Amino acid sequence: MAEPLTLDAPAPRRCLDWLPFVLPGMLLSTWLLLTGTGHLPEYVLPSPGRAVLTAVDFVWGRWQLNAYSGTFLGHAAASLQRVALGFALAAVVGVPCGLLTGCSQWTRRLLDPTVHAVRAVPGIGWLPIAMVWFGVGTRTTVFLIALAAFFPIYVNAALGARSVRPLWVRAAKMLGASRRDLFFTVTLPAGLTATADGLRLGLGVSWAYLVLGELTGVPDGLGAVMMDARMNGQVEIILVTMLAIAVVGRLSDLLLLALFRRVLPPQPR
Amino acid sequence: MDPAFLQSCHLVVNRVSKRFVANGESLWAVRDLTLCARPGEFAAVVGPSGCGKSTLLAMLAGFEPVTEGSITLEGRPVAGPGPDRGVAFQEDALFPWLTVAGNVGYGLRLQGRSRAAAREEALRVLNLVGLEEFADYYPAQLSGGMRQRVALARLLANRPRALLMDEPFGALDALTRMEMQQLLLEVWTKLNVTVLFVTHDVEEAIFLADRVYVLTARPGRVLRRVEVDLPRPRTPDTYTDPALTELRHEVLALLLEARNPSYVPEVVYPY
Ligand SMILES: Nc1ncnc2c1ncn2[C@@H]1O[C@H](COP(=O)(O)OP(=O)(O)OP(=O)(O)O)[C@@H](O)[C@H]1O
Ligand SMILES: [Mg+2]
Repeated sequence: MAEPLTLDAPAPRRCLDWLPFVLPGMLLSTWLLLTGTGHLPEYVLPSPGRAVLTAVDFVWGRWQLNAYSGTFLGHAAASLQRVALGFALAAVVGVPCGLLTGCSQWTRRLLDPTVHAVRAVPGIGWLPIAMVWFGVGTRTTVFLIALAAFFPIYVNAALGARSVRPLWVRAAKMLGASRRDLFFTVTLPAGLTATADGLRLGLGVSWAYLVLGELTGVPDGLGAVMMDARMNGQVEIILVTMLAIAVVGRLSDLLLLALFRRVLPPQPR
Repeated sequence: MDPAFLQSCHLVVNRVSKRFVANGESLWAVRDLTLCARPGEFAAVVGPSGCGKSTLLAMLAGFEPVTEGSITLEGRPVAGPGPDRGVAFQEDALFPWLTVAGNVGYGLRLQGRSRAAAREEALRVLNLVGLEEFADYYPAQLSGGMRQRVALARLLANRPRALLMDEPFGALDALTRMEMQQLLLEVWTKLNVTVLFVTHDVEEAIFLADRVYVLTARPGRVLRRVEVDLPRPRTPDTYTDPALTELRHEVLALLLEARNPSYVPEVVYPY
């Protein structure tokens, strides 16, 4: 006889899912094996233990292992400042331009073709001319970041503004909204979700172009440390800075998300 | 039209025509349509599907310009949408990013009222439609019927001179619909606002209105004006009033006639 159907599903077992850890575990053991058995020399790939020591020393500088000991905060602050400046520039220009493009035919015809024409030049392609204009240094880096982050911000803000339902526009006009009111009380809030997505993408791009800008020979910043360490043959520092950029980038993303969560209405759409 | 009568009218649609040009073809959606509503009157418009009812309302609201003729509210020509005419849409048109109170207070905020004043007034109007305790909910957290109440409250907060309603209860179930009809009549009695109510439901039109304009098939124009002299206040008992049934049959017969393409109506100017 068939078992009677029960409405209560069996309670899910509370245990850690081990599957996601399989691949990292395998990579780590391969790394340990390769470096431990002397198949790979230290100047190509340092051992995991050494990498961890270097990372701790990079941040706290207790052991004075190398020239970069304890310099993390200074470099991170320099990088963070460039990202913040470039990203802010991109956001301040990109969000209003994108929203206007999405809600006004006139602005779209004025801006969109040019923006997309400029976008056809890959961001890296701007590096030489930026160095000519701004010299090697912070200004080139900030310029590259602002330029590259602008596009995803602009495109997504425009998408958000275009997602405004015509019925909302009619409703707002019927309730007495002027064109200006319409922008601030309908286009802006309705396009906010897409704009927020664009800002997150833009921040990600900012970190990518930070590294590009800093590789070209600025005295400080995480990208500069990377390049410098390569010249000095300190591979472990290269690895550690890569990790540092990933961590700082992810933290900034989480910060932005937390900010959105405070600003965006909690409405379930 | 009789000028004296025009004087007494609040909302006047005078020989209005509307032509759309789509795909290189021009089409008259409304042709030579004349109707009017006196202050505080409840007028309903019924007609076959596609006869231009929504188009008529869009012109009254000021969303669409008229091709010919004129529309006036209190003697002033209608040019563009404005808060003196509240429009109830068939679809849900609440702003999902605002709470119920935010939606209802939206028009007041545009008029420059402070946040607190707008909220206070919004709560007062919400009380009128029985949704005071849902002030801080978002539209997505409400049922379809509740959303229609909020939509109504949002219009009323602006104290419009006229309400223009385009099949606002079309998407509701029968019971909620009856509740909404009752509520609308209550509010209308209290606020003494002129209502133009478009519907394809003949019973609804008769139940609610003082007079019903029956339109021809496209291009829409007034085929007949039917006076509804059912006693007020209208209650659920009114639905079964034999007088209502009789009027319903009359209007349905007119609509069936009007649907026949070979039928050439002898169009009456209502006044
Ligand atoms: N923007 C437009 N462009 C071209 N034609 C239009 C437009 N809007 C409406 N029409 C035409 O005008 C006619 C009347 O449309 P309308 O929406 O006013 O009908 P309706 O009476 O409201 O119908 P229903 O009862 O089905 O809602 C239709 O034939 C429609 O195709
Ligand atoms: Mg319609």
